[in-house]
Amino acid sequence: MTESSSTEVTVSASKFLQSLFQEELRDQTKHDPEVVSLVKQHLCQGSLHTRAGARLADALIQLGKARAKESGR
Amino acid sequence: MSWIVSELNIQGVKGVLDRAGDFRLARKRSPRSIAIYAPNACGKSGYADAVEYLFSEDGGVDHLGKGGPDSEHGGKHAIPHVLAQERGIEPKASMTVVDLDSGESIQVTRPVETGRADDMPGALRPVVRVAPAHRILRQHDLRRFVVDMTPGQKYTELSRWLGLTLLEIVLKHLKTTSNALENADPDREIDERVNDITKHTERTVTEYDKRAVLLWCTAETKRHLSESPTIDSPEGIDEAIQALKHRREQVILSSAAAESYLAKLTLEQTANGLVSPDGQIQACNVAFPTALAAEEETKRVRASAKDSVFQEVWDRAKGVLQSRVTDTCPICLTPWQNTDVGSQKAALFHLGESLGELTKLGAAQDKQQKAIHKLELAIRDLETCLTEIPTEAERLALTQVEVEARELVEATKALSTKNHSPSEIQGEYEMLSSRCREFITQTLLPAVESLKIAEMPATATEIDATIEHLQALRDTLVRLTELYHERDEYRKVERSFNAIAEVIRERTATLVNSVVAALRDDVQSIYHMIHKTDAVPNIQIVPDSRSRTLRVRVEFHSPDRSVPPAGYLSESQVNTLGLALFMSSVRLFNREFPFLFLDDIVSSYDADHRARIVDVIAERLDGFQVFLTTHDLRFYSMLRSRLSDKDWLFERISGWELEHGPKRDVDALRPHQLDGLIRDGDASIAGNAVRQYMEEWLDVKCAKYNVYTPHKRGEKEFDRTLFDFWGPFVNRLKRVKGSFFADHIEPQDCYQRIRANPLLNYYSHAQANPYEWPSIGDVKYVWEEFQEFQKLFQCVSCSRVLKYDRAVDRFYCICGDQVFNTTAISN
Repeated sequence: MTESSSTEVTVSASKFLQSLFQEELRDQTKHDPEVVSLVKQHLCQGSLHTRAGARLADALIQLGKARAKESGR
Repeated sequence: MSWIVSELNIQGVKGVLDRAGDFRLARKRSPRSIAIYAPNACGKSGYADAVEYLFSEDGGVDHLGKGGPDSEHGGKHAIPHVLAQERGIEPKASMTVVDLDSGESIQVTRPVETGRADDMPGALRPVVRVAPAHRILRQHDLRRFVVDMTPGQKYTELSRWLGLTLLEIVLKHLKTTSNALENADPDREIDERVNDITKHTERTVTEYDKRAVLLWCTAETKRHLSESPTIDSPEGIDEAIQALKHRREQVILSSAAAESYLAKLTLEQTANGLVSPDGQIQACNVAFPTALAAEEETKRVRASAKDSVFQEVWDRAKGVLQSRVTDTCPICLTPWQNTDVGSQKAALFHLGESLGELTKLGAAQDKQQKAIHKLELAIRDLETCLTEIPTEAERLALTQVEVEARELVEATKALSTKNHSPSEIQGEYEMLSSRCREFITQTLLPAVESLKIAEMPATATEIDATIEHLQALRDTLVRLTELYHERDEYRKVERSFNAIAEVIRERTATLVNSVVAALRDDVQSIYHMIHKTDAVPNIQIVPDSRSRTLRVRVEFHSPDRSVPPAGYLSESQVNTLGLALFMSSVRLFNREFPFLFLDDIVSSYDADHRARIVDVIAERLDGFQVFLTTHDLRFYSMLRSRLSDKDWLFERISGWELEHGPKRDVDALRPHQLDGLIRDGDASIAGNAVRQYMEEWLDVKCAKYNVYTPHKRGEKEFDRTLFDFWGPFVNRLKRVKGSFFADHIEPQDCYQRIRANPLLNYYSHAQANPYEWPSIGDVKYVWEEFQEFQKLFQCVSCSRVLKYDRAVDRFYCICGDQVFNTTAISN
């Protein structure tokens, strides 16, 4: 290409997500690391399960329950 | 990584049957573009269909639709050539792509499948993945992105171009998760539990107010217990319930219902006692297998300690054998060597062993006795408990219970009085145990629970209701405390999740916006190139990553008037917007595989705008590999003149036959291009190009020298053949004044060699096909000789092309010097 306007625009979704998780979402002072880990585990895969969103919600609810139980002791 | 197409091969697809479907689109690693001119109905769009089919995800060609063979568009069944099956030709499109960086070459063949299962060949996916934008643009597609697609489809398409389809799915999942968390369980259950509070406080408290609930409980308790303390916790409710139960019992026992109440209470306690984990039935079930096991053990030990009846004899024998040595057995007086054991020592050892077994047997028998005794006690206890039931059942008029209980008492009694070993009564015992359990759970307890005591005092009933309310409220308060705690944790998790989701959404939106900005600038710039003199509207491409829509708008004569293009722009302007969008998307997103197909895209443009599109192709698609077809001769000529010094091939399709397909001719190329084709070594391609060049040259000269040929230049020019020019041209030269031909042309070797070549002597040599070249050597030979022949028509002094003066029938050069290297020519 000889045009200077040919900006680097084609990106890979998985690379984009990986970079988000490795950089911005890695900050534990801003983001709950357990929640980040669950989101990454469910949504940052090569092939997503058709019910990945619902499964993530279940996992987050379980996390909330576990934390409630733990702090209730 | 950057891929180019090196070869494209099409056969049995649309109008292309068994020839005219092969394209070499690279010389070594240098990609070449191609422009093909063809009048209408000559099969050029068949190439576009084949390429579209090759790259399609599900084996479709858009304009043919997805219907069956009888559908309006023809569906996939219209892709194969109608004669393909009959001729045994497999319809297919093949492509060879080469990675310029690594030199890796992929050859992909996609046979045309008319069934449903028809996925893109896996080998093509790496190439398509790096170049996600559409690569085929046809006239009827120009409006597609601008007008026909919905904003949602446009956004999806943009995401695909960006390679963000996966991210789009992730965003959808984030939304699903968010919704699911909003409606998470604690909230639902909290609502249900608050309803329980409303119900059990008889609508006095209608929300979760722990203090109000405890106050209500205190007041209710005080109605029945004047000295009740204030309840300040769920545990306090438990204490109040115990006090109320005690009070209730007092009330009942001092009433006429006392006897029935006690009877019922006895039955309840008996039943619960019998089936409890440490109740009588369970005690029997533990004692019975223990006794059975002890019995088995005794049998086993007894079997090994046989002849135990001789213990006394053995004791004495052992005493004798230990105290003195004898020659004979002291019992049977047989000499030791004649006994089974053989010696006094061995006899002593065996005696010791046998006596040990007898000791074990004694222990086993003791254990068995104890186990049997325990079992007998357990059965007797069971019998005692069961015996209480008929009496109380009779008091409460529970006839069925009474009858069954009496039967069970008899059965238990019969079992306990039998003096049999556990193994002998095992079957009877198991049946009794099962009957007891069944009787209590299925007959006795349901009967007692459903029993209403007729003379129950009203106060007791009221206390019952209060106890029921207090128990429910106590459970509700405990559960609500847990639920609110859970909810707090849920919300914390939800807030964390939403913050993460927001980061992903925002970064996605930023990415999309930056790409769209680049796309918009490029679209605007291309649009401006095509409509240079028009008022160019400001184009807006507005993505919304939340609603996942993308809108294309133009500012119509005012920055405040943003309108959909289709409603306000002219047809050609809408088409230009579509063309610009397509080209920009390819330029921005397909750089790793810069191949695109432009099929007849200029139909709706006037000549000026077509020239501008030529500029766009030449300037903005430089570095791209373009496959272009057109029926517009002027557009084609403009392209050719603009791009002839680039790596472009130019071909014409001069006709089409059902039997073979398009008739392709390589358009006349410049000499250096012909040299390149000859170096490539393809006799067919180079030979046709040389022939085409010669035709073109002779055609021009015939026009210039006033030569009569059987056809005219123009519409039918594709009908010409080389030998149709050659004869009239030579005859004309022969008629030039003087001895021009005889002196200047005829003696030349190049003339003689060309004249004798089968290419120009087709009729006399009865060659089967004048367009077939035996080898690249033949092509090179003709080309070199023809170049020499051309030089005969150049000035020997200045090398300019000679001019011809019709009036005086003579050649001359504007330099005025000698034009021929022979003076023998006379004018």
